Amino acid sequence: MKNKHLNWLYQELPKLIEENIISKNTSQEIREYYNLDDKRNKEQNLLLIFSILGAVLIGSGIILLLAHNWAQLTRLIRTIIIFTGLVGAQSLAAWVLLKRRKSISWREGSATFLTFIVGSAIALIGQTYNLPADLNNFLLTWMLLSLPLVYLMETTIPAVIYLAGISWWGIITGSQFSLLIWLLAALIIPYYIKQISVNKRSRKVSILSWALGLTGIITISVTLDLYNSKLALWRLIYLNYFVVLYLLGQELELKTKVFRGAGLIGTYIVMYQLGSFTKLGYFKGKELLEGNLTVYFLIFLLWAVIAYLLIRNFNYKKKNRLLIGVAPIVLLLGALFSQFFAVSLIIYNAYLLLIGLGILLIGLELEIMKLSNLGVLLIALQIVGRFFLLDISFVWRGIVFLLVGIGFLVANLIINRQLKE
Amino acid sequence: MNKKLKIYLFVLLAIIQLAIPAVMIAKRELVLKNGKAFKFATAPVDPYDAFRGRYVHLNFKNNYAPLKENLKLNRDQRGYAHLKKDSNGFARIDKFTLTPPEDNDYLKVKVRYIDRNRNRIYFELPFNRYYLEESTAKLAEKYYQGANQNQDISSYVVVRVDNGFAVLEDLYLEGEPILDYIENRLNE
Repeated sequence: MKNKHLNWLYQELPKLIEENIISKNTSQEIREYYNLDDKRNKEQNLLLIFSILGAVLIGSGIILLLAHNWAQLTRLIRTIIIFTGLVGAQSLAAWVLLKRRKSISWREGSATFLTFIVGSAIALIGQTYNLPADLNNFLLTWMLLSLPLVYLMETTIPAVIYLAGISWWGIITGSQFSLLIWLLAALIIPYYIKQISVNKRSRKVSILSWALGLTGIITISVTLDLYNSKLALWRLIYLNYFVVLYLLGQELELKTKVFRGAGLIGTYIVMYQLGSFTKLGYFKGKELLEGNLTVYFLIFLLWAVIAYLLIRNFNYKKKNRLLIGVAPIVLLLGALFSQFFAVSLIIYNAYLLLIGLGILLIGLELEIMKLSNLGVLLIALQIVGRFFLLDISFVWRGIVFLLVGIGFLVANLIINRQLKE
Repeated sequence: MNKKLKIYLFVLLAIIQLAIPAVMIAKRELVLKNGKAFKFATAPVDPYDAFRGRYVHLNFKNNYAPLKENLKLNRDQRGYAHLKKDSNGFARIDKFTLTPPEDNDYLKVKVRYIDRNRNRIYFELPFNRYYLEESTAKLAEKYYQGANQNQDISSYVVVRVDNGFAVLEDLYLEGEPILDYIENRLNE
């Protein structure tokens, strides 16, 4: 069928649902039959990328041009530039809201452009009146003035810019406003939830998931205050965070695997490190008791989320959730024995092995080759890595490497054969 | 959210986006118009700001006040620096208080550090940058450093102060506004 007809059909479907002529499911089936989403997506994606890229480039160009600080520009001319720019970008956005609200490309492009113009307007004022170094106030003002665009125009790029801006702001201000940064980051969550409810598999959701996952890592580091907090508390909190990410990823079942992936890798790295401390004092369990109120609040909040995500839809079949979900308990258990590091070493390594085996078995059960391979890889990584801890000769190390390598290949072969049957 | 409400909210946002720059500008224009002028002796260098371009970073010679024994202070504490002019007409901070004075000119400042040996409180003054065109900033630095190697060159900024709020008016080298100074040297 010709593209023109397909486009027409694509636009008709929502109307037909609205008028109760076809059901949502039927509409979905029609879309799938004609590959409507794919075709439509490809065209739209190209347009979208160009409009965002255009807005970002023009916006940055304007900032750079103004940064040259033209000596010919009097204060009056600068004021005129500021307001013409703002009104111009606002008019464009308003026109899009009124006339082109259906087009993602127009919305994203014009909102991104307005975001940049707002930033350059404030920067130009700073330049004109020789304001002191106040990057934090500049960023905060800029971000708060742009945030409403995310909701009013339903745009994702300004949301990502906002998250990047407040993260930067958080890094500059440090722990001074450790709670405010959570509130600022949370302002994006309603938009995120809405996008998930509209379409879990959309690119918007993927992009926002990445941005939010990273913002979370930065937000936690701001709260923890790099210089004052204890390393053991850092480990516990980040472990909790990664577990939450993993469980959230499982719960939401998004197209993007960023939550599941980052959650699993993060959890594994924290545990792997804990399992490699062979001397007393590398991991001080006592430090867990030396946090302040904010830190404990954060820990209990993350625990509450973990518990909620585990209990909700509790199902023995979903072993992977439980496997990763118990990580904080394992950490605390090991911390109890941190005076006898051999015991905690065994606890952590047993748990790591369990994760590797668990992933391998789940991969076999679900018949996902990638997953079972990942399990084997993690086990191999652990065995090889741990051998560096021990003081043994190169001959033995060589033999262990060979054996692990052969084991890896054999396991792969067996799994492959099993999956084919 | 329905369409009409969204449009109204967008108009509201647009007004706020316009109002905040307008207030920022108006506040400073008023101080430049009505504020009292003070000269602060400086020592410039030249860094760079990604958003706002090149600027001359200003260090001040008299950015301290005598420390009184009974005053308990912390770093980053905000307060009020009382301004006086010395015999050469340059500004000097003669007192620091936590409440604004009624009869004196003053600046809102932040405590940077406290020197217990010399009994001085050093401040971060609310103006430490002078923005210049890219090429000019490099020249300004060159002239300043070149002149500085031979002998003391007088450099100072004129700041307008009104109710504790300060706006930097211009940077002077040897009594000339910096742009004139550079132009005159280039013509020589």
